[in-house]
Amino acid sequence: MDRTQHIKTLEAEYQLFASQRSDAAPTKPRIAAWGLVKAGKSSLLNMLSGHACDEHFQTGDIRTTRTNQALELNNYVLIDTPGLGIDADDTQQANEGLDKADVVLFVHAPPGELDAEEVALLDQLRNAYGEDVGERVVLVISQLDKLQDADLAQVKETIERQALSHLGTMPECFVISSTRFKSGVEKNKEGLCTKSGIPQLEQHLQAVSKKLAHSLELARQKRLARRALDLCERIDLAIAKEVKLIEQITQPYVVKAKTFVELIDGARRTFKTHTSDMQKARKKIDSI
Amino acid sequence: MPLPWLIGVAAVAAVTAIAKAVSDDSPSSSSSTTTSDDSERRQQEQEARRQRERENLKARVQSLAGERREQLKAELRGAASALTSSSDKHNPVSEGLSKMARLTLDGVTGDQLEQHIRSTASSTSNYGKTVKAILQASPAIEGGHIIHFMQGLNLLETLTAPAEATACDHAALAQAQVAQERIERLQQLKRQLLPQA
Repeated sequence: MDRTQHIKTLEAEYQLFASQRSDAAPTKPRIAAWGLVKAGKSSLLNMLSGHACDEHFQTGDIRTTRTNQALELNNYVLIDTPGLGIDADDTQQANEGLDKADVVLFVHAPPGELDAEEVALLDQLRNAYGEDVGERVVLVISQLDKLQDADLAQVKETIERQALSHLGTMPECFVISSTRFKSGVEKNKEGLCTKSGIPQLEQHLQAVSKKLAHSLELARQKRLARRALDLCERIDLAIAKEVKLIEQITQPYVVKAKTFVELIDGARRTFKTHTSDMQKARKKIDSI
Repeated sequence: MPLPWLIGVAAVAAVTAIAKAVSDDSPSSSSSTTTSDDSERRQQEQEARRQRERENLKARVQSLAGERREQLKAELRGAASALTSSSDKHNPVSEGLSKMARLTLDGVTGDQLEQHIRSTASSTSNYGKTVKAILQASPAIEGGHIIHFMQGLNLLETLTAPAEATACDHAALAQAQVAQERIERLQQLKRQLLPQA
């Protein structure tokens, strides 16, 4: 990215920051589903919002969520974000969703533990939430039906270790199956619903939201202040780079100018010494 | 006392008396003439000595003037060479700067040199203005240094000719100015952000 483009990006971030800062509504906690493409974010939110059978958040075999979509419920607002890692615009949208979120559902779909890209996202979460990251991030391992129990336990353990290493704390981790929950709802089988892990996650979100409700404004202000500080640091870094560039451009001229001034001063001094000697000699001539 | 002894004593006394009389008479007759000659001679010698000293001093003044001119020429050429030295093969040295490095001081009198050396006027050439702007963009040089640079450059240009900036000099200035504009834009952004931080 060239330097002017980088400034435009910083300016755009500032505009977004300023608009989000003035956007106090809603007063309910915002819970965003966030993760790579096809992690099962939209399905999860449909299950959590009572739209197991009539999709509120559109799902499909190809990536369908391209913009952030919100749904206000009784105690919180769910936000579906586009999947990360495929398209730059989608990623920007998802990051805007993260900026607004009071709680993040970090959704991972097995097989396997978090890959390098997802680990980098954990780092991003740590930057966004700072010391509160343990309370504000909820790990969700979706599509549990895809794995055997033993494999699932191993994957969960590895993911928890990765989270501890990169977040500095261990957030709550839920293993869920939207398919199983949907099936339980459709067949009216409570056991299936319970085994899907969705009710447990919903219960946790209710508790977190209740706890957050009292300190929501303060928490948002804290997060905005952290973002402002981060943006300030990036602006300072960009300024330092420009100053360094100017130093590089001007350095040869500065070196030449300083040497030149030194030599000219020397020439003037020598000339004045000679002139003074000549004046003394002339005075002596006159005095003789 | 026997007579011959008396005659002898008397004779010696007489000779002594005559000799004394002769001796007493001689200075009073030639002293004024001798003093006058000596004084004149001494004055002449002193005048000659003064004349020689004057001549020596005049020669010294002349020698100092020559030495002053030659040394100034050499030192100004050295200073000009500091401007022409370039590690960048793609940045050719302008004709004006090359001329400064070969300056001769022919036809410039001593008085004119003294005036030029005393002058505090700054360069107004295209090269001077361009380099001044480049230096002003740098955080590594103080304003006083830039003034001295412009005065020194003016001295050289007065003794040769005003110098022209090269395309590379102009390009460097343009790059520095663009970077400066970006800094101002970033600072403006920071000013907007700080009250909200």
